[in-house]
Amino acid sequence: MCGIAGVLLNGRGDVGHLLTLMLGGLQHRGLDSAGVALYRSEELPGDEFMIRVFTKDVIGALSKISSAIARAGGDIRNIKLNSIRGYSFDLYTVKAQEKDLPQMVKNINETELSKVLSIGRKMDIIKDTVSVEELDRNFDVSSFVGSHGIGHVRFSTESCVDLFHAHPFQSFDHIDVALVHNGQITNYWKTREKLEQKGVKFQTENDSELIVHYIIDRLKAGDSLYDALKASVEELDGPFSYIFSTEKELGMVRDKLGLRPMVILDAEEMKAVASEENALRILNRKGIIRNVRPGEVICWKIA
Amino acid sequence: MLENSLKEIDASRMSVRELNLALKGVTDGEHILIENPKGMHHIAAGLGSRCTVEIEGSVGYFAGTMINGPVIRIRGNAGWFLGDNITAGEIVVEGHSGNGTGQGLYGGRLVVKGDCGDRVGALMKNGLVVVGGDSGIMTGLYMMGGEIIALGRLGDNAGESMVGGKIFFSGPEPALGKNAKVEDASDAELENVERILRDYGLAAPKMRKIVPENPRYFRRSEGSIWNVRRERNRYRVEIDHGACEVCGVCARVCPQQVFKEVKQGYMAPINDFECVGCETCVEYCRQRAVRVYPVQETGKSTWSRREIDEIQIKAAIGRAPVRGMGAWKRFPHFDDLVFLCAQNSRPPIDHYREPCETEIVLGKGRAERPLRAAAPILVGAMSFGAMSKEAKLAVVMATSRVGIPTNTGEGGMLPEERGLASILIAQYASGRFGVSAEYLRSADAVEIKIGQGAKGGQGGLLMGEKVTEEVAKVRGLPPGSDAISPARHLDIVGPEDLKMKIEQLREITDWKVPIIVKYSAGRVGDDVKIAAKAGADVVVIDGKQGGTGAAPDIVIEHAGLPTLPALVEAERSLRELGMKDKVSLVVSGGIRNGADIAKAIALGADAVAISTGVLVAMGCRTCGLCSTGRCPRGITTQDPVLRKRLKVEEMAARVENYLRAIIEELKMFTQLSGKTSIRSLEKDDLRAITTDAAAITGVKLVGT
Repeated sequence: MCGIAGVLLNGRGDVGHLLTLMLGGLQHRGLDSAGVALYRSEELPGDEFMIRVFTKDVIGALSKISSAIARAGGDIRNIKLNSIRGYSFDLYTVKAQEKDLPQMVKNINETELSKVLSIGRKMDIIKDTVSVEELDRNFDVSSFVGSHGIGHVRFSTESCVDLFHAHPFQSFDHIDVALVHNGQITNYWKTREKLEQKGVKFQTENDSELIVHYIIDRLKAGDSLYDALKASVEELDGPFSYIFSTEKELGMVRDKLGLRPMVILDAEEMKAVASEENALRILNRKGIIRNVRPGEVICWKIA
Repeated sequence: MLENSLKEIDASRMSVRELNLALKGVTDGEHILIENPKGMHHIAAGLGSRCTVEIEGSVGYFAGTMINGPVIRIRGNAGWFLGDNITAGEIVVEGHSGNGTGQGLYGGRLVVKGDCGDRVGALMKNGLVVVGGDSGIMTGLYMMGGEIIALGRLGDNAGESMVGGKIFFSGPEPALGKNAKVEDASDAELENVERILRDYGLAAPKMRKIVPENPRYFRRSEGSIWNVRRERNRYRVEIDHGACEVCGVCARVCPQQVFKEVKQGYMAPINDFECVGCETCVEYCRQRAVRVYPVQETGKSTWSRREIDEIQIKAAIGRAPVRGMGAWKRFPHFDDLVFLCAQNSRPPIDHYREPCETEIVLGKGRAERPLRAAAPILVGAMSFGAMSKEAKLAVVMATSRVGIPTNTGEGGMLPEERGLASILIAQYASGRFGVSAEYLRSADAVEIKIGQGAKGGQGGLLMGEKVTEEVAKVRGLPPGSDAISPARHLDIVGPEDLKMKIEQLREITDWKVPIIVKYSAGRVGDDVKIAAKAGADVVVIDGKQGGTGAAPDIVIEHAGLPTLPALVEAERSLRELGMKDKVSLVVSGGIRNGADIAKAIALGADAVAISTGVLVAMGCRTCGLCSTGRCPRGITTQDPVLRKRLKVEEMAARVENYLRAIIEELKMFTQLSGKTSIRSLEKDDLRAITTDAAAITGVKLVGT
């Protein structure tokens, strides 16, 4: 699957613009869908969360979602409407307790009109079955200012083409994390079974979602992101390269045989990673560009 | 070079297509400067003129792929697979380059002053790669010839599974791959390396070299199931001594030395344990005195004779036995379907008086020149090397006369082949044998072979014994070298790679000919969708009844989907994507006669590919000896004595007759179903006679 990219700035800056440029340079690697996970520099107040909800534009949808949120104890502070082709990708700012979030996601998804795309205190995910250019036009990704972000263009392999199988993938058990992935996990079902026995709920049959749950499972067990990624090199089989982002870190890894590509740029004002070097060259920054070695794990922390 | 002859091209507003078209017009001796290459992929793909191209900046994947002549200087970095399959010319990169630099090189030079990624010079056959900096893992993977000079540090597993060529290195001794060893270089070699490096302003002290430990590393002659001393016979051989003249022809033609004149005037099949049932003796015996009968299976289904025999072989050789041909077990097949004949509800068309269209066009979607054939039959890919020249030529002559496409197979194109073939498909497989821009451009279509039905997910190997001078020349290999085909294309690991590969091949063939993608039937639904989205014009699905020259018996019988369900899945995939009109579907694997073809077309195939059937028409008895090189019919052998048994003109006539007969049969089924064109055949013309076939295909069960 696909082309992946990530960028981490030394401070606050035009993350959206940089990601759009890089994904534009990777567009030929996949035309099925495009998406980004963007991190703001400033966190919301402790009890506020951003929830991106995908909704069919029908009369009464908004009130159904509002009541779904309220039923889980959420208090809507703001709604940023974003309507495209008979669907809306609205961004809700909700005051709530973190423990109530899984229930809130469940309530929203059960309205059968809507599905939650992301929850975050810093992070927002935008994805759709469109080109990078269209994604930017519809959501104004370019104007986003923040600290870091990751992005993806998809060429689907073994799961279906729709919005929910588009990347970045996220988890509602652990907010502010996202993943973009290029490759296949060939021991998917065995690994999934192990995670399911631990109570993890899967939303799709996409192997990328598995990586998210796998890493979060390790993080919850006390691993650092680096250790979790390192473990994934040993335990996940198949060709893959992926980028995993948290509110503080950007981690990336390539499979042991180096079957999927990954190139990084280390410049003074930023660090960037992409499937192909040309996507890094588009940024036009002075710095060292090199291939990530097979099986190598790299983690960058925000300043 | 005079300064005023410098021609500048600013690529900032150009697509790679436009840039390559501009380069195409460049003649020998010209000097071109490309500015703003923007990291574009496939720059200078297949460039054939002896010009000089300077590129100011970094380039993307497959830069200078398959060039034949020019000198390219890149002042920047290069992406993956730089100088892939070059035949002649030179590429110099001032910066770094990515994975697979110089993979499958046949000649020419590649110089990267900086670092290189993994698998430098993988599958190299000849030529030279110089790496100024460090290189990644598995440098020289599957190398069969040529030289690599590495000045920096070599990554782990250097020289992995190499069977030829040399890797000179000056850094610390790396962790070596399988079958690689370090040796001191001779003075002459060192002098030569020094001279080469001096040309590029490079130097290195104390070079040593990595060479293959055993050039016949992959040799497994005893691996064939027919090469083991057997303890049970599968065929019983008898001689009618009343008729036998003791002429000795049976002993001379038997590939397994079954016969012996045990005493004066008495020929006996003393070694019938070894008989493979090729029946060559039966045919050569003038007196019809020899009889060969298959031995009856026992009723012990789990412990059948065959299973016991297999265990005995494994116990003898400690390895999975290898054989030729496809699956011998029974699977749901086209035989489980019947045609409904038109009677009163609709009238049949008269086969003897009324017309029936059989012409087809494959790849109407994107290529300038789609493939037009007189009948919906392609002859499948069988390589020169696995097959004898005589067998290849007989097939080519027959298909040309019938007006249907033939396929080069993965072993390159015989010099005579293009002239004789009216429609020729050039195969592009993982081993990259005999691949060049000229090879691809001279074909009417290019087939990317991802897999083969009989041995899905596995690579292959042509034994050095079969790599004669002539085979080596056509394949671009050193003579006598084992020819390695990896299990996957080293540069096609995921769907986006396939898309890029198709673009690369289109750049080389100027978007003129259709691109075919051939799969072994596995996750057919997903694979077909990927090929269609990646831009393939034709998808070939090869089911497990398809043949092979050599594969482990256990894989042939137990991996991959049978042809029938594979076809159904593939057709559904294209329908779901709404791309049935854009992407043609070809199915192969166990297609023998006109009924099979008609049923495949009714189930949604646009055409079928036939290979084993054609060999059988030439005398093959599917005995499975193919991999041993002892084919008694002269088909899958390079032995000059055996090859003489195959009379090209006579066999071409037989193959032609066979093809014309099955086309006739195909027409019969079309017409008795009440149709005047094979394209009108549909699922409802069929009924399933087993519940399995009904469940698999969705065809109505008879009587329901």
